[in-house]
Formats: sequence, C-alpha cells, structure tokens
Amino acid sequence: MSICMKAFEIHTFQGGKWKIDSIFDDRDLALFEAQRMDGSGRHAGIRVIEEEFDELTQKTKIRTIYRGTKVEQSNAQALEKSREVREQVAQQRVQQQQEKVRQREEAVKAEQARKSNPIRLIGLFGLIALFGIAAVVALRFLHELI
Amino acid sequence: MVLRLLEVWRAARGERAYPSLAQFDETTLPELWPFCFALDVTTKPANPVVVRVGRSIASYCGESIVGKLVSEIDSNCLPAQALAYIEEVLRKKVPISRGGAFQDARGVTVLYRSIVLPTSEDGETVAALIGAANCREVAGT
Repeated sequence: MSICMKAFEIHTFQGGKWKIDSIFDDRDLALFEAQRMDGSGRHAGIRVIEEEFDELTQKTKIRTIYRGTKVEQSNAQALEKSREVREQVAQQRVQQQQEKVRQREEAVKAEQARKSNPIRLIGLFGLIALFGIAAVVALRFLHELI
Repeated sequence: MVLRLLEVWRAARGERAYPSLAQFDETTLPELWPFCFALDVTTKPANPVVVRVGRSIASYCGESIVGKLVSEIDSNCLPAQALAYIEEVLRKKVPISRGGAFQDARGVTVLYRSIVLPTSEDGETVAALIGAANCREVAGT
C-alpha cells in the first residue's frame, strides 16, 4: 500500500520569480492564508502548490490549487494579448497571400502583353529576312567561286 | 494561533528575509506568548537548544525543557511534536505549520497544531527559531 504525504506551499511572486513563503500540511489552512494574503494586496502574485509525495514510488506530484486574483488577471491579460497577436499574424498572412496572388497575376499579364507586342513580331520578321538575304548572298558568292 | 503568529512574523520582518527573535515578546504577542517557544540554532543547528518555553506549552511537559537540547525532550509531550520538523524549517528557511495527533505520557490522545518560523539577527542568516503550538485532548481516550 502506498503512503502519500501532502504539503501545501504558499508561493509569492517577488523580483520576477516565485518564492516559497510558507508551508502547511493542511489544505484549508493554506488556502485561507493565501486568500488573506491575496486580499491584502501587498503581493504581486500568490499561488498555492500541492505537493504529493508517494513513498512507494518515491515520486512527487505537483499541482497548483490556488492562483491569486492578480495572477488570474495577469493570465487573462496575457491570454487576450496572445489572441490579439494571433489575429494580427493571421491577418498579415492573408494580406501577404493576397499580395502574392496580385503580383503573380500582374506578372502573367505582363508576360502576355510582352508576347503579343507587334514590335517584337516585326523584329522577328526582320531577323528572318536578314538571315534569308545573308543566305542568298552566301550562295551567290559560292556560285561565283565555283 | 498559527496564522496570527505568521502575520506578526511577516510584519516584524518588513523588507528583510527574517525578523529578529528580539522582536517577539509579551508586548508583540500578548495572547500568543504563553504558547510560544524559541530555539537557538547557532551552536548546534542539527540539535538546537530550547531557550524559551511559554507557560501554557510548558504545562504539557513533565519538567522544564529550557536549556535542553531538542533530542533530550520527551517525545510524548507537545513541544517534542512541535519541534519534530525543525530540520525542514532550517533546510527550507521558511515558516512551516504542521498538525497531527499523539499519545501523551498518560496515554491520552492529543490533537495539536504548531508552527515554526526562522528568525535572524542580521536579517539573512537563520540564528534562531520561534514557534507556537496548541492542542486539545480527545475525550474518552
């Protein structure tokens, strides 16, 4: 049969990190004190951690059983900010995709316009004609040599 | 009682890590003082000396325990139960409260609640412990 020992640690948030303030073996007493401390408004954050040590497995389970109102507010604010950032990122992604589609369409149009340009066709005909004349001149030159 | 002593301890330390033992006396703890005890941990941290025991808590010991080492206190009395976890207090350097039940020398079951808190003269190094305990006997045992 496993024997579990429980401890309830009150943590306070100081100088950017959580510190153990006090330890109780009684859940109700720890919660009562944590709520009282939270109500005093003197702490940036309060939480109660339940530590359950199983002597058989030598393992400790830890879970937070209380978060002070400031922690809750801070978590809610962080969640809201994260949601806003996610929305902004999604919006930017859509705008970027739309811009890419627009650029691709413009490139296709430009290519089509380039291919159907009459100057290009005239140039091509001119080049063919130039080759033809050159061929005729070369043949005549060869014929005179023979 | 446990939470009241903790509150006084917090107020006494102010911005420091620990208050001084000298900050606790009958004037700062008028109602709690009879239930309080103090230990000096400077000479033998693993086995501190009892330097003060309140009237009420002393009544649960057969003899005076002032000047005795913790290991010399009879385990069937309230102070011994309250001092059973001082090693953890010294290791973690935070106030710890424990409760439970034990059988006293008469075989009567006693329910108790206690707290032990670190104190310091320089505000950093734990030099003494202050604690409090109260109890009630379970009827019919």
